[in-house]
Amino acid sequence: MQLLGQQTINGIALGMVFALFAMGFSLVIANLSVFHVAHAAVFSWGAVFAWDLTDRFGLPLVVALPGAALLAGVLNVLCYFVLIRHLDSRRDKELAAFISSVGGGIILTELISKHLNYVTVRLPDGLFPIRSWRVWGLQISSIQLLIVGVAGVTVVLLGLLMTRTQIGREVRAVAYDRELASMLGVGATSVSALVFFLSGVLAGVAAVLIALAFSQIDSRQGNAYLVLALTAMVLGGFGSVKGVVVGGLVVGLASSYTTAYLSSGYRNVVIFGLLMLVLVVRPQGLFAVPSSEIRV
Amino acid sequence: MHTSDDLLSLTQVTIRYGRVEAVTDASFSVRPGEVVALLGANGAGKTSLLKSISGLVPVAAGDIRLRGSSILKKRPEIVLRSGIAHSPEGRRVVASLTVEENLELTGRASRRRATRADLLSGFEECYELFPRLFERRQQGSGLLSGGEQQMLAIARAIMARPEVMLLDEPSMGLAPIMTQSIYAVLSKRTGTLGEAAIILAEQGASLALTLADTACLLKRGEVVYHGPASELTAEQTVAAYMGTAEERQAGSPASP
Repeated sequence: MQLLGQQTINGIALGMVFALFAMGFSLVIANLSVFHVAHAAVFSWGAVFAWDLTDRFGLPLVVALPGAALLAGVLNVLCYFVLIRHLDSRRDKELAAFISSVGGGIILTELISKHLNYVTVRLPDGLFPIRSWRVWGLQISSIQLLIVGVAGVTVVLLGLLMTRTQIGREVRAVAYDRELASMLGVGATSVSALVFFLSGVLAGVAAVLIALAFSQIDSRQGNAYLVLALTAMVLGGFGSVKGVVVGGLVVGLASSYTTAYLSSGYRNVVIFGLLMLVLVVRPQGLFAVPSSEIRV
Repeated sequence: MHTSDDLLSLTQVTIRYGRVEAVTDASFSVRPGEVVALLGANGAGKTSLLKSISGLVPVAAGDIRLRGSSILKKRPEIVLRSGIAHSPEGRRVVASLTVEENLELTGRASRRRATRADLLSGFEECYELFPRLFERRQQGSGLLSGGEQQMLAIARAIMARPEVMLLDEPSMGLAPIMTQSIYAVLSKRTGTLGEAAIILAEQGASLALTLADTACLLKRGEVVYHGPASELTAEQTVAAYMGTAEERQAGSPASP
């Protein structure tokens, strides 16, 4: 029972990170129908930026976390303009943009390897005070609290931005119908650039949290998370923020239970088995939104 | 072609989709506050012309000028901000937003410095014209009836405070009673609806002509009549829709 409780806490923390990552990815899909695979490399760069800012420039985490997230956002905007924007007029633009993004991702990943001199690095010790508390016999670490807190605040802020502001209305209008949005005064290109920025920021936040939790940064880190985040997205039901968060939590919990009760070798088998199972029973995902009302 | 009292003028506009010429050498102009009925059968080029004005389809040849300066190649959002609001056919609304969010979206996006007061007076104007929208302002606009969505599409254009409104088939697919009530609102011509020039594209000529000062009749992409609405004869209209008497007798109304 204690193990179960402990793994639940670990799973929730991990799941929140998947949810952040998946949310950024699905924002881009809703906006442009582009499968932006280089998102994984942007995630990896997010952790590298945090390493640069802390280890090289000696900045504290309160500066480095938002700093790395902003830099990841800017990098993702560059991805949009360099890899995707000019393909708009192609008839097969979704496919072309996907391939372009795959290529961009590979280049960005290689650039990280070079930047890190082909070694794995870690954030400096003592960047974040590691403590842990015992609550009802369960171990809760300060890092887990940080992850849940930062991820929770980020999700809530994103939700408010999408539902309460003009920017959010514009993003939702472009996601619904690009041509119609332009007739209503919304500049679709600037909205897309903004979406890529937000999506990069989410990836950056997730990456810094992961780097803190697992204290390892390497160039390919993002790729492993990409597949898990996509699973979270499909599981939850594409197009709803709630779905992505729940999907992320399910994947996080499945991952942490499997590691504890079976073996970490079975982790992917269990996660993808779960995905298949859910899709057989509920093909639309757990919280599907009718395609006419996709909100993200 | 452009005279100083024209607000919007189209000069020999040609529109092509690949090899198909949808509009050929179309010229007409709109004065401030004028209502122009843009008539023609399905496929005559009405929607293409309106889309070319708002920058949604490229113009192959010719010019479109607003207050004397060309708006060709301007992006749709820029055309809107310079004073031309387009209410597209098929009552397209942003179904994922509520009624009021649809209105607020355009109210803010069309004028970068819109104040809260501008917005509220816009809402007030729209809700006064369409009380149904007020009742449903918090509802998802995808849940509205067809007629209500059409009301929203018109109200949304009003939120932009345009000088020219492009209304593409506001009666399309609506029950006659709903069409009547929408035309009753359009014919009030108060506030923005009174000040703005309106280009009203319709397949059904009779209702549009009750409102129009000027008629512009399209036949297979060409303007075959442009003049006072009252002088457009039934014969001319029928000829544009069905072909001339000779063409009909020859039994080939579709051949050019």
